[in-house]
Amino acid sequence: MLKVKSGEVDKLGLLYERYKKMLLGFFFKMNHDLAASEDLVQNVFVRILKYKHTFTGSGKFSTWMYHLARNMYYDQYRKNKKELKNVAVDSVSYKLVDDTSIEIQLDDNEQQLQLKRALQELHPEKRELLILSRYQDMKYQEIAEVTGMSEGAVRVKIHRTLKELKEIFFKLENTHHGY
Amino acid sequence: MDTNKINELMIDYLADTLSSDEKLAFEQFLEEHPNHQKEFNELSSSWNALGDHESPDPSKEMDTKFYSMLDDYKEQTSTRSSFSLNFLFDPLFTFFTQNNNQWLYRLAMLVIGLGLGYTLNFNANGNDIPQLAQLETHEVRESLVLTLLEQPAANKRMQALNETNKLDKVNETIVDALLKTLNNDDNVNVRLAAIESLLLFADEPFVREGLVKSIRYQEDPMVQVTIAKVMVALQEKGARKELNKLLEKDDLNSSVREELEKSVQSLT
Repeated sequence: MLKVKSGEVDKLGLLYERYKKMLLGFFFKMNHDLAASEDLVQNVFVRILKYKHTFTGSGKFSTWMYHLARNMYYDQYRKNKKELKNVAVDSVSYKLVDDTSIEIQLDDNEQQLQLKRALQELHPEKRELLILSRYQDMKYQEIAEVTGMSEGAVRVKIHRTLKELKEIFFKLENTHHGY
Repeated sequence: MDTNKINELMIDYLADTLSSDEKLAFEQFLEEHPNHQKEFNELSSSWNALGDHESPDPSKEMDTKFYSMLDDYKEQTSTRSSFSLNFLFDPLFTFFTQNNNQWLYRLAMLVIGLGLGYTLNFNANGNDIPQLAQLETHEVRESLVLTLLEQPAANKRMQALNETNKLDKVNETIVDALLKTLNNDDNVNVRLAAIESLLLFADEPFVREGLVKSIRYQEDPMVQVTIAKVMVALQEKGARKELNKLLEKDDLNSSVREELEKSVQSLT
């Protein structure tokens, strides 16, 4: 990244190849919209070029990249939330959570599907913590750097979120089976 | 042990960040405290249920968009840097010419030129250019060309041909893809651009051979004439046979026929 910063922008291609799948996975797990996730990945790299001068090299590139990525996600999330308030529900073409697309794209068993729905029911900031720690294999210290929380707070929140996830999961299970 | 500490340990245990001794100690603690054990089991089942879901694979379109963006950025930056050089040289030029000292301007340019040359040379020697990275960039560009050539939009295929022009050497896969474009693309402009790209590597015998073979597939007058002119320029005598075959076609455009006959004569 330091080479990109010093003007060797071709090197960004190498960073893109290394991180594109990981980033796409992060966004996709956050919004379950593949097209929107691909756009977000592209925008992250546009932002990396735009803000390359702010990368100091003191921390890991991936931490800095995820910092940009989550800002990008929340900008989009807020924008969508605002748009959803302003337009009629039937004209919404882009939704952050699309149950139908989840059903189409993921052919796991019913329980897995229910779990994914439960994940989507979580507040994005809580969902993000689980995604970063469970799927992106990030250490709590890195998550703390990316999210701006203390390491202790990350642990406490993950603990609470896992409990909440289980409650939502059972609620969905009961609704599904008509209890 | 206070509750916060226990909760932290549970999370650390799940994320597998505890040492084996710490793990053993914590397992023992849980055995002695059934209420915490129950809570841990619940957390653990949620954590494990999350599984290791596979991430979706990025599409080719995503790659294409990224590399187009990167190319646009590089172009913009190079335009900006040439502007800044003008910004530097223009006042110098005005200063020297206003004072009727054009020879001084020339001398100043010479000194700047020598200085830049020395600096660049010094950097090139002192800088350990990573050949691996250059190779990777080359490979990335090659795969970009192949991806773009498969795009349904003609402008993307044109972009692929522009990218080809940035390659300093080509392999057979790229040449095959270019020839396939030349022989099958629906768009005449793309086919013409493919000829132009292939021409850059015409010193390779297999490129010339491919160009000769592609003559028979051309039906558009523009492409037929262009490829005939290319053959003359390359003095590719082996093309005579293919050009004569083309001349045997009854529905050949009269102007094209004239051009082809001239070309065959030039190759004789």
